[in-house]
Amino acid sequence: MTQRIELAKRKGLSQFLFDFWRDYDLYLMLLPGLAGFLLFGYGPMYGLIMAFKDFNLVRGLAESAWVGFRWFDDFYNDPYFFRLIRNTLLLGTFNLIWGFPMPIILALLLNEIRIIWFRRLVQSVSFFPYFIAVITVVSIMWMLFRSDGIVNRILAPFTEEYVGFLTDPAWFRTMYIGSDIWQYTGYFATIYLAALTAIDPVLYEAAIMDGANRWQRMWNITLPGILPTITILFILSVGTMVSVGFERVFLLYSPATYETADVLPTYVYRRGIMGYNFSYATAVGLIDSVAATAMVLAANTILRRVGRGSDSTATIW
Amino acid sequence: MKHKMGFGGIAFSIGVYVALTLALIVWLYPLLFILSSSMSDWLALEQGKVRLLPVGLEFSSYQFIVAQKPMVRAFFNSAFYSASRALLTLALLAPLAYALSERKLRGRNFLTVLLLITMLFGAGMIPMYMVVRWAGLLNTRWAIIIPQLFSFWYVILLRTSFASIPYELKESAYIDGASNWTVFSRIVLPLSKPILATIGLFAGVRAWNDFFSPLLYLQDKEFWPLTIVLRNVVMLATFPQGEAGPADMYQSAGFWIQAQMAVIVINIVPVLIVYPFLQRYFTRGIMLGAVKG
Repeated sequence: MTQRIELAKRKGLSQFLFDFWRDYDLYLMLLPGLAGFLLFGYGPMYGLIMAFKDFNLVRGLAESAWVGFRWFDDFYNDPYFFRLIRNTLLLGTFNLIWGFPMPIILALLLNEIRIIWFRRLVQSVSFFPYFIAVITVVSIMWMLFRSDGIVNRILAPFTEEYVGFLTDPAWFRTMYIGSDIWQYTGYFATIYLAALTAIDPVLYEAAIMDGANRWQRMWNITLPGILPTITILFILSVGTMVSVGFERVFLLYSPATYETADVLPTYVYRRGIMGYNFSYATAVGLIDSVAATAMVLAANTILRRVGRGSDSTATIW
Repeated sequence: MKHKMGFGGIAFSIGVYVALTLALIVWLYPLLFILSSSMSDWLALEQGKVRLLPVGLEFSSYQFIVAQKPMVRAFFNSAFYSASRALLTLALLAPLAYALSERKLRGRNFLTVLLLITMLFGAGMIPMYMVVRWAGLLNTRWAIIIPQLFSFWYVILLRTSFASIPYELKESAYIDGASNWTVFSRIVLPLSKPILATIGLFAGVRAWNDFFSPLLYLQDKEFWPLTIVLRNVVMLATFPQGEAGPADMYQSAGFWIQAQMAVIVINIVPVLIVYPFLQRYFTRGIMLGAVKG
């Protein structure tokens, strides 16, 4: 203790240097990880200046000429501009609208189950797909839904010809959202179930005394009890409205379904990695990244304002 | 707590059980169908007779796959990527997270915000590709391992867990003149086994499932993980070494279907094996960190 009091007396720079010297090993411990974050987190941010340059692999980033907003203008005049923006927004928005409530519903239903083994079974089975690869999920869908797959064979007596689940642009969004829900509902439900355990059982007892039925208890106690978790997960998923997952779209789409399926990240991949238009693709990707971050920040700010003074909402910061 | 259930209560219960049973079928059926198909008779597969349970028993596609060198190599590549990423994630991020969990660390808030920004804003595919290229990792095994290690999410979970260790446990060590490193390695790490196991398993499974990085950074077939091979087999219908195997196998569409199903199963099984641990630790990890928000 005396040592601490003595330390508190030092001031300014000497205090700073003393702390630094005292905890030098802490700084050594964080150094390797920090270096990685700087290189692979901030390195790409520096690389974003590509979007404002005419980047050339041979010349290198520093030597390439500045072109201002030329690539952004080009993208605005791109024949696919409207289609890409529309597809990205619609896919992300529909996915959020359908996908976000599912885990809440699942958690609420599981919470009503009194037979423990059944509850565990449903929880374990629904959580599992979270851990398998997107490519595996898409492969399974491929086997189920292709023209000679099991689904089409079962539907055969009722349809004229097979349904192009994977080749018809009209089906793409349904397939994408369906596979996303199948894969992630159990994971988020598990998070909500963990939050549910923090609800005080006394609330339920009091509600029963007052004659509330199960539906009323679910609606008035359980749901408000997990509202902070709902808010946080909502803020975190709002970014996906404008920035959809690359892998799932890339694996599910084909030139036949570009009409509804081609989104900003897949276009970036085709123009950048496949087409070597690095600057152009960086500019398109930048629009997507900025929009996604802005959405998260906006959602956080709005919910913080709305929830001010109440315990039942939470925000990231 | 026993209380009488009225008619409404019973109807409510029935509704809940019916809904959850249907949900269970939706989750379970695709997995069972793939498993059954991977061990069914070729002819039955060709005619689409496999609905739920295997029809006949036929394991030739598994034998065929195990005999394919590129397939075995892809399996071990994936295993190598998973193990490396799990270990390196812990080796780099645990010390970082511990340092950030110490209140006495100067510049702690600045560093936290610095890392948080990388989570909130991603520069995108092409700039990342350029950094990987600039670092000389393109088309090497390291491209699948190193760039993906730095997830601030893992740092948050580790930091929250480290911060929850009571100071009293470390105090006596400090009084004995122990350095921060000694306290971390002798006291904090042994107390943090559950969270370390959680993060390690998560990082490992994520590496096993990674499709994006090998698609972008690898050209050389020698380095391909199982995910890339799976895509080739199922979506492009090409085996890594198409020529091998008896010719009559290729005559049968049923064989192809069976082999595709078998590769999917092989991709899932390792995850299934670690799943009980993942599930148990995850629930604990959530309790510790995520929900606290």
